[in-house]
Amino acid sequence: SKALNFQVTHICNTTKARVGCLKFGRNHTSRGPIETPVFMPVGTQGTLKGLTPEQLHQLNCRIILGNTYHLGHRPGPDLLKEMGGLHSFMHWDGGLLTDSGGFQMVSLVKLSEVTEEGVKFQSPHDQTEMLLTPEKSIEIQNIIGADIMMQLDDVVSSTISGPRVEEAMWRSLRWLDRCISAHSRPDEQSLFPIVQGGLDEKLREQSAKEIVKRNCPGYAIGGLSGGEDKDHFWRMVTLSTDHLPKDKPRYLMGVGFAIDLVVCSALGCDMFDCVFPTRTARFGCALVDSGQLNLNKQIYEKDHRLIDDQCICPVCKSGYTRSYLNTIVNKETTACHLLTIHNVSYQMRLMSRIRQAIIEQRFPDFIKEFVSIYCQDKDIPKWIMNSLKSVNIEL
Amino acid sequence: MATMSFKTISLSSSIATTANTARLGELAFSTIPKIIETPAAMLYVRSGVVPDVTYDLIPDNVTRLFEIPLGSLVDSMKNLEHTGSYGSFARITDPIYCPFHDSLVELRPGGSGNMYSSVWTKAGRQELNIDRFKKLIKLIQPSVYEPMFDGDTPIDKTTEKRLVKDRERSRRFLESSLGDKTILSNTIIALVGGQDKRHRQIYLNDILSHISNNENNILGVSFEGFHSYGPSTENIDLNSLKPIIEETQTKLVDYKNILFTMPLLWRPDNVIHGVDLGLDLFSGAYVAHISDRLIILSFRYNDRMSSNTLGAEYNINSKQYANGKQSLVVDCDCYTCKNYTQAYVYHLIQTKELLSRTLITIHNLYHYHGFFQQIRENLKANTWNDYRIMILKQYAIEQEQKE
Ligand SMILES: [Zn+2]
Ligand SMILES: [Zn+2]
Repeated sequence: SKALNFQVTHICNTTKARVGCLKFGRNHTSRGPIETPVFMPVGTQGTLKGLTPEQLHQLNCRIILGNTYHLGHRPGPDLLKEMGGLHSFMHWDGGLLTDSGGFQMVSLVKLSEVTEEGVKFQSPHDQTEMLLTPEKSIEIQNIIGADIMMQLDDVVSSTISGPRVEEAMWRSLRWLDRCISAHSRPDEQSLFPIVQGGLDEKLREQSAKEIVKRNCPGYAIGGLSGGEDKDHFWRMVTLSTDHLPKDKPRYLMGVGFAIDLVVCSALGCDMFDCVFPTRTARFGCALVDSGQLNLNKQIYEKDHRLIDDQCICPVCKSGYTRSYLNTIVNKETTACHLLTIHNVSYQMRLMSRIRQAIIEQRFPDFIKEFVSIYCQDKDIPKWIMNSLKSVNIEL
Repeated sequence: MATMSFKTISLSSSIATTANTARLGELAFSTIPKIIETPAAMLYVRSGVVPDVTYDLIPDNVTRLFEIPLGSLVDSMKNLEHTGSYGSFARITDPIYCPFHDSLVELRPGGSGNMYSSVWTKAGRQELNIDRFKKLIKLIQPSVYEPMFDGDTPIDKTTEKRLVKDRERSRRFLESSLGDKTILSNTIIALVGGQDKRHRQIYLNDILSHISNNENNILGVSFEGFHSYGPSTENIDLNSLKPIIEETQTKLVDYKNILFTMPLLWRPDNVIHGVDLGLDLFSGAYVAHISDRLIILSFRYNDRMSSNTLGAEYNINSKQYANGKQSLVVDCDCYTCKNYTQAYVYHLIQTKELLSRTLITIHNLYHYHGFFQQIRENLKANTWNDYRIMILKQYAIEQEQKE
């Protein structure tokens, strides 16, 4: 389509991983195409946890996520329209993806009720009754102007099963069609459907097959990463990618732990998002390959090492030690900025390492090394063994 | 050996129309090839960082002399051991001045004894005895520091007895610093005595010999004990302190290269009065103070700015800016004003996003330090009199007309 161009440039010989190049039609991605697999940090309300757009670009971040539910409330569609969309409002010329608002509604608003028409809910701000329909979600997302928009889907917890899951899958499909007809800017924005079906293989397969028929510019895999058993999780991911077209980007929603990024890249996913790296920074935690360092802890008082001596972020590059950061975390907000910079950079570099390994056909070795550092002396979790075995990697 | 030196630069005489003692000066460093022109504001830094802003975002026009209150470093003593200096520990290459008190934090009474004094932080009191103070200074290795003093002399509640103690203790603390060769160099001596002219005179007389004996190691003096620091000092009437400050300057008239400084939340109109009083170095804490309260500096400080309708300062957290399509200040060239609208900053405040304070602080730093730059230029260009009136008018038109 005019709004989005995706090309797979490298394919892993062993796993289902691939490297791709994602371009948007609008000229605001002046800093070059987005290489996949890509991680998208979450900038919920039109900003990314204190970092400026220039700082994000410096960390090689080319696409971020905004939340329609929050943006629809503040600053609201009227102001965003006046300001010419979110890109210009927040001074961000990179890629932007918005969710539909449905997930936030169901998870944040206690009194929500799903009907065929849409999600009915009581505004937590002024208690008035509101209705988020597929049409309304698309209308707001068209105003926000993100490069990629999400369909409104009927969200059910990934830990429940039974008829509600099936009902949600079919309803999501009907809502998809309503979203497609409501979409008023298809030449500028791409609408992604979402594969649903909970943890039921049959439903998920049906869902994938149905949405592929709509021939959309890219596809998302939803309804996972909600606390379900990891062995179920990876099976649903790989089943979904099996049924999605090879030439379109695949976005696995809500996934962002380092180990999940490595495994799910191997399962053929191209795009990821998660609040974890920025949220954990706020609590004084820095990401490293073996997990995270909680810099509040007394053990860092005299630890004069960098967070990670391999890290290329401005914080590690300028020589801030764990001991120094220990003196400012939970004391100065600037510490949040510094750890957010490191954590976003960590995610970006991890994705870049994954891509480089795929390009150089050494992704299996990369995974083996990564898993061994991640698990250290502990046993490798079963789901990691099984998932990797499914893509021909024996640990 | 002193690594920092100060010299005053004489102004052409026509400036004397306001009968003031405003002066230009230069701070030089033996270790870094740079000169800081005065009058200047320092960059307020706490625990090694500027509140809410990472160093890459600090505007270029900011004077990079870091003002790091001691209170923010006491907690780090354990971490700081064996790191060489606080500069290398916190990755700071610019010169550091450690004042004893934090201009942002109000000093509560009762913090000092015969052998100790206290620094105050938001979290409370930190007691320092002479040895611990010296150890801290040795760990930090600041470019310049202020020896420990008492200074607990709140305006209305200070008795004669308290003033005597204040002098005795401050002198004892000063002598213990000057008597220790390892921390002898580059000090800014606290002048105490509350608002009592007589006690201030006595104290200055008491320590004058130390100034003359250590001229190479003493960079300047700081007027302490006038107030209790913290938010209320924003509104201090500086002119009421004029006779006391002038008396001190008369006494130090032979020491041309002694720098004058004073901790305060330096609102721009008071900066003008401070320059008139011959002060050289100003605490930069005012920027942190107002930015934390979401206040935007908007006074006109140079000819290129059009006169604005916003007043000298305004609070951006007001509904009237919710749809504001202009920048925080029209004609401002700072990063924030070049790229963002009032509506966006307002949105960030409503959503409690960290970036709001970041953007506000960037603007205020640019504005405040740009103002000091203009002060220096107008002093050089002999246009000080017009300039000071232009600023004072914006802050208090009525008051200025009375003069
Ligand atoms: Zn780093
Ligand atoms: Zn500005």
